Amino acid sequence: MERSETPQEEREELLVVKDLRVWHPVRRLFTTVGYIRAVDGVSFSVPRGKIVAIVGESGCGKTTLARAIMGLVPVTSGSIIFEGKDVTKLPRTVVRRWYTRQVGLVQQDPYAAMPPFMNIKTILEEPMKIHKVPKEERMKRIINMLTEVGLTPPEDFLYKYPHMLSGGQLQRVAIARALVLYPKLVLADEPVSMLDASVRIEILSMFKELQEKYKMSVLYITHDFATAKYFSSEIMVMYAGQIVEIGDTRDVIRAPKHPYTEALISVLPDPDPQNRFTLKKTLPGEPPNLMRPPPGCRLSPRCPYVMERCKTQEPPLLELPGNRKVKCWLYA
Amino acid sequence: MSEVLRVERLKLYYRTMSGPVKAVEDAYFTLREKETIALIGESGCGKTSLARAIIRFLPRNVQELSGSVVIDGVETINMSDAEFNEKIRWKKITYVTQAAISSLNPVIKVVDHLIEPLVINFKVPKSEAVERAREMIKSVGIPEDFLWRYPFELSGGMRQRVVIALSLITNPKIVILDEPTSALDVMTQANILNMLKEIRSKRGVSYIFITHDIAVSSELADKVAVMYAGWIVELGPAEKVYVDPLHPYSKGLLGSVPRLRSDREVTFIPGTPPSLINPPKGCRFRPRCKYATPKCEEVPPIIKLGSEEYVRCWLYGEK
Repeated sequence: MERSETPQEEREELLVVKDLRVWHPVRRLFTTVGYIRAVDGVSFSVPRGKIVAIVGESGCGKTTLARAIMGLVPVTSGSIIFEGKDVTKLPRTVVRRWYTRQVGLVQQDPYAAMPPFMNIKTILEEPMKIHKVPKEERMKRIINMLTEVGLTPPEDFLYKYPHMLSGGQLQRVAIARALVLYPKLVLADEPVSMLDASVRIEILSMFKELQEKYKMSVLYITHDFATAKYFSSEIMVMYAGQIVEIGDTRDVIRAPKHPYTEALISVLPDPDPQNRFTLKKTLPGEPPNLMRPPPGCRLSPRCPYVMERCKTQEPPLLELPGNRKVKCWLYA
Repeated sequence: MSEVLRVERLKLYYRTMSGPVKAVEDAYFTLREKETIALIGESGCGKTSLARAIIRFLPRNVQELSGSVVIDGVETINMSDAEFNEKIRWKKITYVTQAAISSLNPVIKVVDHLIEPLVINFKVPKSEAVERAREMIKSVGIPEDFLWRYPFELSGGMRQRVVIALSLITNPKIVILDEPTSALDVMTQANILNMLKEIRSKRGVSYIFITHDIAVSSELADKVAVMYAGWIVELGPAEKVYVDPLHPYSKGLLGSVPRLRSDREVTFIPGTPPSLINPPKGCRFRPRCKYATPKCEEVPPIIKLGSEEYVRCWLYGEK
């Protein structure tokens, strides 16, 4: 949102992903019989101090993409450039010592993400132990972070165990754990989708304040356009392992260009008593099998605007005016 | 349109080691033919307990169940389970549980799931039951040959359709839908909602639609009951509740929904819902309410504002 107001502003990239492919091999006995193309030719960048949202349905590859950026799944090809260095080509030791310290992760289910036998203090201290933060400083940072995420007074929470906290409180601990090393980039994978509506907004507002205060970049992975609208400045829409549209969040939501984005936004309701009198226009069929994606555009079997060309040639990610990129032949 | 369900003063307490859980208190609403009521509220507010009290789908630790539930003209609250099963369940009312998608038995074919209530409860001959299953499965938008497949061969959206088909096959008057689309993707959810709308207009069934997703609830609801800590705090027509909610909790809840098509600010309600073992004195929302006055330490009455509009809050006076 801020970007569209000041288009001349210098954009400094923190993370640049180029033509990234993550193909999971499918094995039968001892031979590889094919690949699931979970992420297939994805390029984008995350500027410093901004929140970028990745939106898509389940199975579109958004979580695999995040895991690849974290270094949790092997990359098939392409590069992940963080502060000018290609992480996929760095030696493992450097990645462990330097890169993992710069990137924090907040997962979807806080109950599954926290070891149940550790208390909050141990959970928050662990990353600092691994990255050799001096002992004197650890406690100071733990107290500070707990206060920042709104778990006050922090002393009350230090020796509690995950099962003693509510989902919202535990997700605050997860955010504190992701931030305790002061990372430059935080990957938030559906951080609020398990929470209730009013808690959701509370956690997201707090997260956004912290993001501004610590000048972090955030990659916000979600299936929810509505929270992405309030929380991110830029949005990327994924379908079947590829990015189909990138742009400023509010522009994309107001006037989606890719047929998939358009369909997805049109079926999302707002609370409106008129909704019950109309039927939604949905796309026919289901997302393709990523072992054998359709030739040409991956949306072509479901697209209402499909042309001959779409069935055979894959469209490039076309640049349009107004900081927008669309992977669709309609705009060629 | 005739009335198919009337709930009055419904009370449901569960027995636990630390005292009774006051899951539902003073619940009330009516439902007419072809009408849909949405029960909305955050998790733990008693939506599912209320629905389960209506259809008698309760755990063993029920301490108290009282009030009045009139289903299609018949008072059911004092019926024995056997009587309820014989006269009401399947015939008048069915229930699509939360996570119903995983409630299908993976080693039983779709067709056998569908004909079971007909053959067992209604003694319909098998060939006729299969014929009805064939019609039913088509009307929920699944090709006929899927009848002879196993549930694990179907996608999540299709399994949800099968479960809805199962809930409709005995021609009930009321179907309780408990979070029917929460586990589904956006596009699949829209397809299921479309299908539910078509079925409602074709078959004239009434829904009790339980969801925590307020935007989705507006896809079906003719009227809305907002629940908080076991109470229905507001009940009114969709036109009223979604546009201009009255109770401070409904205002907060509606205000916390991010909108795609307008730029109104989103807010949240500070604090957390109370324990239902030891709820606050007086109004249960009082500790979180910004309009709270000393008066709120007394239990607020259910105040009738319009023909079908009720709110449980001292702000609207006592008449």
